[in-house]
Amino acid sequence: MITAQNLTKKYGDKTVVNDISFVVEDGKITGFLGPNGAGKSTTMRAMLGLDSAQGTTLYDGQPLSSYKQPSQVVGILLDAKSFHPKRSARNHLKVLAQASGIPVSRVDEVLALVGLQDVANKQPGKFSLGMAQRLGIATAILGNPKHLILDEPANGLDPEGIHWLRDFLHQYVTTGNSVLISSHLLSEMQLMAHNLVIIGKGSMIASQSMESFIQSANTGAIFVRTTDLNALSAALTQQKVAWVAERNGLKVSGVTSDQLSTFLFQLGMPVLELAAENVSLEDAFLKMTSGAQEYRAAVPPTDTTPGGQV
Amino acid sequence: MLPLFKSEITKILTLRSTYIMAGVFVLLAILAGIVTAGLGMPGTNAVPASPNIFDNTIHAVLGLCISILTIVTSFTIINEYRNNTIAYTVTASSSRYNIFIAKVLVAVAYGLAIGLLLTIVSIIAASVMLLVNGHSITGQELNIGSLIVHLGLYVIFYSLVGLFLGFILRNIVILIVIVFALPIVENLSGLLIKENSKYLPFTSIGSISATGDAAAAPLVILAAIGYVVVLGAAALYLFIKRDA
Repeated sequence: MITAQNLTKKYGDKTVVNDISFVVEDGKITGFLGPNGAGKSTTMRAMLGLDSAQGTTLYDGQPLSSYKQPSQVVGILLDAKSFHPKRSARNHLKVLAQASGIPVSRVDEVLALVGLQDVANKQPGKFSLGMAQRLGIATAILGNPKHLILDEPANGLDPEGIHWLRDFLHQYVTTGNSVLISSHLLSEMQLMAHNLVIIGKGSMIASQSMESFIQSANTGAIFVRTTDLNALSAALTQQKVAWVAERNGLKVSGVTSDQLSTFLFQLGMPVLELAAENVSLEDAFLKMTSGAQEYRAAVPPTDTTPGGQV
Repeated sequence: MLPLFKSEITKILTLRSTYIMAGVFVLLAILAGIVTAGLGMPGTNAVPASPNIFDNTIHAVLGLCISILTIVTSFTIINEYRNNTIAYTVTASSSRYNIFIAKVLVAVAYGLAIGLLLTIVSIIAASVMLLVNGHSITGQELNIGSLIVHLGLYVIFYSLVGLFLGFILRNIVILIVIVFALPIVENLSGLLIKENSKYLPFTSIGSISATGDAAAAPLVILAAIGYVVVLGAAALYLFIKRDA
């Protein structure tokens, strides 16, 4: 288990990480989310002691510096291009294996594991981003560590690579290991992570299970489409049921799908489409971090029209 | 400590540029040997060759290569920051102090290895030139003991200066400017401070190579040691305290 406690990092007067605490549970993949500039990478670096920061991070109850071979406790991938571009992939791993007291025979094992055995003697400076990510993952797992801290490991991977990464990490945690992973690929994170830690502008926003986080953003609204939306919206307003026009239907709140379908039946309207709102991680994330964006693009106008009141 | 040392050695040996630089050093050593022993006395068997040709050759080639050596040793740490492998290096050990010591040992070992290579190759080149010109090499005077101490320290100090500047600056461009420009500034400042210019950093460290009557005074050597120690202390402090 990794326990980050009260991590705070300042650059001059600017606080980029502000009193962040969370736990990365054993046997679980913990997604680390936040808008650009939220402080995710800085938090990870502080957890590893790469950047000086206030607070502590304990790995199974002990600080990383208390372990003789830290890279056999936690494997890291902070930047896919962290290698000498002219040193071959095999030699890159060999250097790190020697420094960490890991048998050099492990190098070929991890190269095969990430599918880079055919380019092991090539210079990684010529690798694609996806191949560089695979080398980064090989580096992270070189010491067969109990914990992994991965910053955007899926970035640049092709669909097969992402699928491999997901399966690999799921397999990795089944033996009681833990993984902290950041990614902007929210749909992928939804499939991958069990728990979530979300920060914005350097501060904690949420730390909970994936399921409860998504549920917390679910309004229970139901999307309905029928032949006469005007008549339906008027009837709903009359019944004091809240609705919002959305795409070619209505999003209705405060009723169950059974109640709504019965209501349509009573009105003599055919049900062309009826679906409970399916909140994704992306929906929940955007809702939760709407006030915590460090950098924000202009928002295009939407086609939703507010409807009746409850 | 030993795993870190082995890893640092492998870092140097697994780069093609290491061998290219060694080739450049060998060429410069051959050139120095040829120029020092060959030019100005072709086929002059009647005139005995100077007994200091070997000594002059070794000093010439080391003087020629020392700045390059300084820059090369700085790469052992600057490349780590430039390629962001420092995160792996720092998390490979529980102590940044050990990493620092390992890099110091490797810089010293590398400097001595290159110094030895330059010495051997330049002497061979000078010997060949002397023989080609019809001179004997048996008359060459070489105080091996003095040479090992003075040139050994000279090479070690410059290797460490490169490494320590690398730790402090983390930037190869600024380092190159310092290594090449500061000695010139020191030379110019000699016009102002006259005799005392021998205590300036590069001047004092450079004077360690001199042997015999030209050997540096103890105070100058102390000044050189002081500069290296202060630079090393600053490098260690910054390496431990600064973000990796």
